[in-house]
Order: sequence, then C-alpha cells, then structure tokens
Amino acid sequence: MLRRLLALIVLGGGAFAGALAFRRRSGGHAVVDVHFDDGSLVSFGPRSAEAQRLLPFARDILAAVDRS
Amino acid sequence: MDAAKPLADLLELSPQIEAAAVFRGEEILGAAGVGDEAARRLVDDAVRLLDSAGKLRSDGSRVAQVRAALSGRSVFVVQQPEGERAAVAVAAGGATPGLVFFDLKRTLAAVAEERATPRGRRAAKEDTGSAA
Repeated sequence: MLRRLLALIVLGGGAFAGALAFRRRSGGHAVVDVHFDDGSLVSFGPRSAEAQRLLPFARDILAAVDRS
Repeated sequence: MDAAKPLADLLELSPQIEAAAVFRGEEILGAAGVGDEAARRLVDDAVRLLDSAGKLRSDGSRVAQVRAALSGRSVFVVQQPEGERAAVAVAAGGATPGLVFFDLKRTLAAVAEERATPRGRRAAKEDTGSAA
C-alpha cells in the first residue's frame, strides 16, 4: 500500500516537473508589453501571433548578453 | 563616447540591470555590461523589435517603450519622444518595469545633457570628424 502511494507521488511529481519544464521551454511565462506615444498599452500573451513575432528579438538579446 | 558615464551610472545604481546600450538609428552611442560584439547584436535586435512593434498599429502611433519578459528575465527598449535616441536593457526577473523604464529615460536624458555641454559637443565634433 505504502509502495503504491510512493509510486503515485513520484509519478505525479515527475509529471508536474515535466509540465513545468515544457511550459518554460515553450515560453509559458513570456509576455510582451508595447507602450505607444498616445499613452496606450497593449499586452501580448505568449501564444499570440504578435508575441511570436516580437519574442525572437528579445530571445536573441538575452542570448547575446549571456554569451558576452 | 558621451553615453559611457550615464550607462556606467545606470548599472551602478540599478543592480537589477545586467546590460544596457544607448543608440541612435543603428549607431551605438555606448554600451555597458557587454562587449562590442554583443552590444552590436543588442542594438540590432532592439531596432528590429521597435520596428516590428511599430507595425502592430496602422494609425500612425509611435512606439514609446517595449518590455518583453521571458525565461525569468526582461528586455526593455525605450525611445525618446522625438525619436532621436533609444536605449535597450536586460534586467533580472525581479525588476520592477516602471523603475527600469524610468531609469532608462533618465539615462537618455543624461546622454542628451552630456552632449549639450561644451565638453560633450567637442567630443561629438571629434566623433564626427573621425568618422568622416
């Protein structure tokens, strides 16, 4: 009984860690905020087409800083 | 380079900022926290980020600032209202966006001030002279 419970906990933990890693890899927490000169702000979530267009530039900037 | 001191001050006073650069068009006016090659990439990508963000609206509105948060860190880009100079910075995830934007605008203002002083004007003239 205890063994089964332990196996379940390990399995659940593994699945959670995997989901977390996938979320991070796919930019789950990524967000882009664009402020315009008229005072408006538009926020784009990670799955939006706009963020997909803008995030690669930010990713390149982070990579350049890491390599420096 | 009249952006060197304001950028050094920025990194000293804002420990959450890892690297930053000030540029005009595609010209690098100064960089801190990164080498020359990385500064070039920082500025090239910042220019492309601003260009792409500007195409998101077709009503003629200009992009004033952009924040892109990913992988636990953030990239900030600020443009001066008259569009003369801009700044890009990379900050740690815990950085407060409003404060980073404020610090970048202050840095841009300091660069403009440095250029307005006689010493800054002389340096700018020398820059132009050596570029010609």
